[in-house]
This record gives sequence, structure tokens and C-alpha cells, in this order.
Amino acid sequence: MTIPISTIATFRTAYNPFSRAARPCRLFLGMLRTPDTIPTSSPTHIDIQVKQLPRASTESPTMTIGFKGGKELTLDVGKRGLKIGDIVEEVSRVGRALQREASLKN
Amino acid sequence: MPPRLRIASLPHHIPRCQYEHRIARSASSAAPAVTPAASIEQMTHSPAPVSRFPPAQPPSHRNPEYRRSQLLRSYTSLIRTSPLMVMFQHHNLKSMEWAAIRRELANALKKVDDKIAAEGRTAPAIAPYIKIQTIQTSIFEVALRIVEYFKPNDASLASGKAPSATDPRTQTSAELPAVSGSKDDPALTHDLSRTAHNAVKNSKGMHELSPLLVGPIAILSIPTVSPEHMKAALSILTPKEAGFPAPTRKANPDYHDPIVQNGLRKINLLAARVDNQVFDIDQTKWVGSIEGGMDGLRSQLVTALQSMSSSVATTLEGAGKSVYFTLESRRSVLEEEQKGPEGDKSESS
Repeated sequence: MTIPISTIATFRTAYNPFSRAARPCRLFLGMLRTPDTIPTSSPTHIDIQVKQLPRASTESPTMTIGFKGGKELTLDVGKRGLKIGDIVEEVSRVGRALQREASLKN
Repeated sequence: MPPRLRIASLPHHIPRCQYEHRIARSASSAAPAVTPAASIEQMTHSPAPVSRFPPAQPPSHRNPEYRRSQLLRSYTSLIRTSPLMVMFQHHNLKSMEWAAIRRELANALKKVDDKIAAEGRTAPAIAPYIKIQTIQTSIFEVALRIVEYFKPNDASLASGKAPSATDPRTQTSAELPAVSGSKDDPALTHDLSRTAHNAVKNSKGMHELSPLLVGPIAILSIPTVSPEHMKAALSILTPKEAGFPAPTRKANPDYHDPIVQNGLRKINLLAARVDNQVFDIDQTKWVGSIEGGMDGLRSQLVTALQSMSSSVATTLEGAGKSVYFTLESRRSVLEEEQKGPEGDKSESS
């Protein structure tokens, strides 16, 4: 399943890299950071902000995905025990709905 | 054209039978070749026992012909030889971006070396040996555990060595410990050996760094603990996260090239490993902020110790002084008391 990257505008994540729960956040970051999304001049540019917590912090990793059009999806990765597949599924579900809406409008 | 032999020049006495001819030829060929006499060493000592495998290719648990085995060896060597390592997370960098980042990194490190040389310090120039490389995380994790958890003791190391052939005490009948050539031999303790494998088999994922080794990871390896070089490298690679200012556009216009900047946006600082200790980002910043490298740290320590010693001296002196003053005042009081009655007596008499 591919993520509709063109519908994503911003991505915020906070995690402690020393915890195992941060794994999906870091892997998802790798999916969003591509040569197409990084340059600010690119039409599919995603504004990515990563906050790395100190090693001793027990805060659970979270991520917020802002879609084009203002919709925001906040996932508490640590508390829900999400894995990378679940995250991709949720994000792409929302993204595909937005894509469909846009195509219907046009 | 090869020279032709004329039949007339052949020896006249042609042997009557083949047998005779063979004897004659062997006798003639053996005559000039004199076998040198065996040396005294050879006669008194027999040769040392011969190992059944080349010393550089001991039997190993992991097949040395595979790339992953050689990667494991190179990673263990890397971990052993670089006391300062910084780990980065990198995502989808293009080869051009890597090349540009490496170029900037090399330039910045060279400047640090030049600065150290200009200040007249004796630190060696290590800039050419500082490398950033991507790693295979699963193999690197095994290499970490082998380096940190597998400590073959001296006895097993000694038993793995072949007896010296030049040592006169070595008997011909001396048995080679690893002569069996079996992979199970506990005397084999190299990184690919079965002993090493068994020693770290049960500690999978137990190393401090193993939760970090997820996804694409790059490692900056510095062969000595040099906070200055680390600071220079971090100011190039992750200036925002590490809090070290990046070179300005005026000072280094190449650094602000879009290729470099786009590459750097895909790199995150994760952690550092300094002298076998794992440091997170804040501690890494602290290490990088040590001024003047190890010499600076030593001078800081010296000043701290000196100030401490002087304060200790004043404290101890203070106690002695207060005792002295107390006793002095007491003495003066006693003297006055002694004087007092005598003076009264003298007045009365």
C-alpha cells in the first residue's frame, strides 16, 4: 500500500529514539523524507519537524500528520501500540478520502 | 629459429641398451649436485608441528566468503578502533548529496586540523581518517555485541596460538591446540568463530544501542576522542539539532548549495558513543562543547583541582587558626588572672 504523499502538507513527530516504541515513527519518517518532498520548491513539499526526546524520557511517541486542506490526524503511537503497517494504513485511508473528494470536486 | 643439432655431434658411444643409458645419465646428473649437509639445528631439533590451516584463515563459523561475514569483521574492527562514534539517521539521500556532504565534512575537519596545528598543540591530524558511512544495522548490532560482550580470556587466547617453531623448547611431538581444524574448537576466538557466535547468541537486542539501530543509520567514526572534530562535524551535519552554528553563507558558500542543504534535511542526529558509553543528544552536545579538545578538558580539570586544593588548604588553615586564636585568647585571659591576684597582693603588702 502506498501513501498518497501529495495530500500530506506537514508532519510533526516527537519520540525518544532509545525506546522501542519509537520505531514506527522513525520508519514513517523515512517514508515521507524523499527527494521529492524535501526541497521547498517542490509541489509535494512536506514540512517535517522532528523532536527527539532525551534518553530518560518516558513520554510515548506521537505523530501529527497535517493534510492539505487543513485536516489533521494525530496518532498516539506509543499508547495504541501501533506498528508501521497500521500507521501507513490509517494515513493512507485519510489521504485517499481527501484525494477522492478533490477528484469529485473537479 | 631454434638451433639445430647435428647428428654427427652426438656422442659416439651409443649405449647398447636402454637400461645402461639410464644408469649413465643418472650418474652424470647426480655427480655435480651436492646436497648440503643438514645444519646442526636440523639434526638436533626436528621441525615444529605444522598447522592444518593457514594462520590467516582459521576455520570459522560464518563463511568468510560471504559479504556479510566480511562486513561483520570490518564493523568489529571499526568499533574497536573508533572510541568516538556519532550515529545519524538518514533517509533517501542521493549519491550526489552524499558526495557533497562528505566534501563539506572533509573541508570542515581539515580546518580543525589546521587550527590545532596553528595553536601548536601536539594532537595528530586525524581529519583524513574521519569517515561517515552507512551501515547494515543488523550486522552492526552483532558486531557491537561481539566487541562488548565477548571477552576471550588469556588462557584460551594462548591456547589458540601455535607453538613457536623457533623456540628450542618446542617439541616435535607438541600438539597444536587448534590442529583439529574443526569449527567447534573453543581455542578459536576470532570474530567469525563459533565461540564468539555462541557467546553473544543469547544477548540479541540487549545492547544499549540496539533499539537505535532501526532503519537507515550512518556512522561518523573518529579514531580518537576529539571533541573539536566532533563539534566541527556536527556543525556541518546537524547544526540545528546539535546547537552548533553552521558556517555562514559568506564564510562557506558551498555549504549553502541546494544539493548539500537538501541532503542535510534528511539527516538526524541520534546518539553518540564515547569510550563505550552511549550518549544521547544532550550529552553529545555537552561533549562537543568541550573547548580545546582533550587538552582543554585536562586544563579544566587541573584548574578545578587547584582551586579545590587551595580551598581545602584555607579550610584546614581556618581550623588551625581558630584553635590558635582560642588558645591565645585563653592564655591572655589566664595571664591576666594570674597577674590580677599578684598585683593585688603587691598592693596590699
